[in-house]
Amino acid sequence: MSNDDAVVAFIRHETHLLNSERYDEWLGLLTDDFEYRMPMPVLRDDPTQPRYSDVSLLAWESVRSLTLRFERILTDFAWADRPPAFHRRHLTAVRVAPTEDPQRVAVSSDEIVFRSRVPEGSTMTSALREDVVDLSGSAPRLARRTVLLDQDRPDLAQIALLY
Amino acid sequence: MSPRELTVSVDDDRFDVPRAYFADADVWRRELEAVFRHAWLLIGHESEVPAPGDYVTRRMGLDEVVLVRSEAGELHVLLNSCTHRGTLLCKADVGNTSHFRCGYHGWTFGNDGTLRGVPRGRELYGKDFDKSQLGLRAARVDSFHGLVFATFDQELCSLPDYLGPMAFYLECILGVSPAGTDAPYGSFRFTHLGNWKLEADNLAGDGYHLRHAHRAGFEMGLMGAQAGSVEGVCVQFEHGHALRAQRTATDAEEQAFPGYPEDRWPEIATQLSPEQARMFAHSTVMHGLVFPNMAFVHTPRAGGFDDGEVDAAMMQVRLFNPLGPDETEELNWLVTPRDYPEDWKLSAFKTMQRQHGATAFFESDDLENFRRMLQVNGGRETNRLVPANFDLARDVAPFTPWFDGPGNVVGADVSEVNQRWFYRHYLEMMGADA
Repeated sequence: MSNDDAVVAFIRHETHLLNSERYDEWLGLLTDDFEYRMPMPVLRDDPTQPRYSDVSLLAWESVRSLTLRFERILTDFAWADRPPAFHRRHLTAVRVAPTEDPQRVAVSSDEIVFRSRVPEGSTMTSALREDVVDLSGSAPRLARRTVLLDQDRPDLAQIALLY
Repeated sequence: MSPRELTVSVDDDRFDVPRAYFADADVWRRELEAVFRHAWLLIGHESEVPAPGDYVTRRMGLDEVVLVRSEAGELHVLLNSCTHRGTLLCKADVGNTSHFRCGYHGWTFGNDGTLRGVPRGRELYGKDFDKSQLGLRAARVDSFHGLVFATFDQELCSLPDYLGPMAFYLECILGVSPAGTDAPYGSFRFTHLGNWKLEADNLAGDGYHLRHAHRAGFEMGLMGAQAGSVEGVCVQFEHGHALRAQRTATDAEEQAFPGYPEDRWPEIATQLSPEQARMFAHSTVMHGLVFPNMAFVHTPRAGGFDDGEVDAAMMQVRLFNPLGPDETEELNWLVTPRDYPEDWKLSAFKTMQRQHGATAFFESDDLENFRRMLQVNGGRETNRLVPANFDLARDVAPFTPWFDGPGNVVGADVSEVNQRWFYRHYLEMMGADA
């Protein structure tokens, strides 16, 4: 298996863990300095201008904050997650590219995330995932994830998901 | 169903608000006319439009408006609607422009709202065509410590009079630095299910839900000093405003300002009046509502997250616009002292997004409750038999607050006195029979 194939297999695996709510295993695939970011979509008039804020992050999570998020689900008082929602991430067009750091590669994927629960109803959200995968150890690890939503003024049910 | 047909039980025994107030489209339409029309509404923060021509698009109720800084440097809040046919002029979220040009017939307005250009105007409208009558319709605008408010009500009192003595408390947070305030991470805008008033009454003073709705936060050690020995007050003001302030119970004479750099404490003590400093010292949380739809939450860092080494307090300002009886658009901002260190601001930002941001789990548990209240609104028997009840702590034991501040200060950390105040004022504006 080529290096790129191994990275694609890794991305498929970690996505499967998120879909399966195997969060402990997923956390084990992150580097210590992992960061998860979701920039605020911002529409400017000029189509050549960026469509995301460079300062406003709707989500900015670390391993610690994500660990707390998952631990909370297992308490009896995670009202927003009891009962749980259906959710599934559909990935396509996973692309691997080198970075300046020979031990890290950039991975981008097109993603559709479906979520459904009463009373919010169903949402289907399209996004671009921009990841950095660390290859310095014996197995790949996820070092960065930036989620670029294809949507201005998203709904809470869409942004509260982990992409 | 008009509000006059809804019986509101507000007497000595019960304080019930019928569910229709949270579900009925006619009530919602009346709110826009009777409540939002006659209030100063938060628009944004001055730092969002620092340079001439900078603009952001916002809503006042359902009215689309533009907050723009003119070439002369003045702030304007203009109806985002061409005075020819009403077309939405400015479609972007943010930008910079010297002129707004309508995409339909090309009418062009300066960024102060003046009608500048009408294609073939002299030829087609005649030489007496008076462009000065057709500028963009402008709201009254005023600022308070960087927060920009506007109203289309020409009869309403000034913003300082509208805020009244609530300013005493807001200044404890917004006035700590002589350099003023900043919104360094811009605005966050999203929609969610739920009636806007549920969030308004919650933030006006619901100390009761904390230990239950946010119990996971307490159990996981994320509530900081709020989990300790505390005392609190609920305060009500004219025009429907209310707030809840809590501090660590202490006999200490020394004034500590948790979440603020210790080398700034003398400056804070100088900036605030002695009574404001007494109120704000040892604060564990302060949150409140500027009627009808601006809220704020201020907390020192709760701890537990690895959100930086800097112990930074966070001040989140929120705005909720009712898009319908059951859908709300929310905007929020982190507001910081302008001249504080970048790492302090960054730590405050992480605290805000991880605890009170749109994706944070404190927030998600609140909004879950608001959704589940919406879910029962359709039931005929539910509407008849289960009004929203606000009877908690009608008789409050005497308590002498630790400060002498304005407003109606009630010595109760856990009470529904602020919610009753909010709904009394709201129902009065709605013309409901109480």
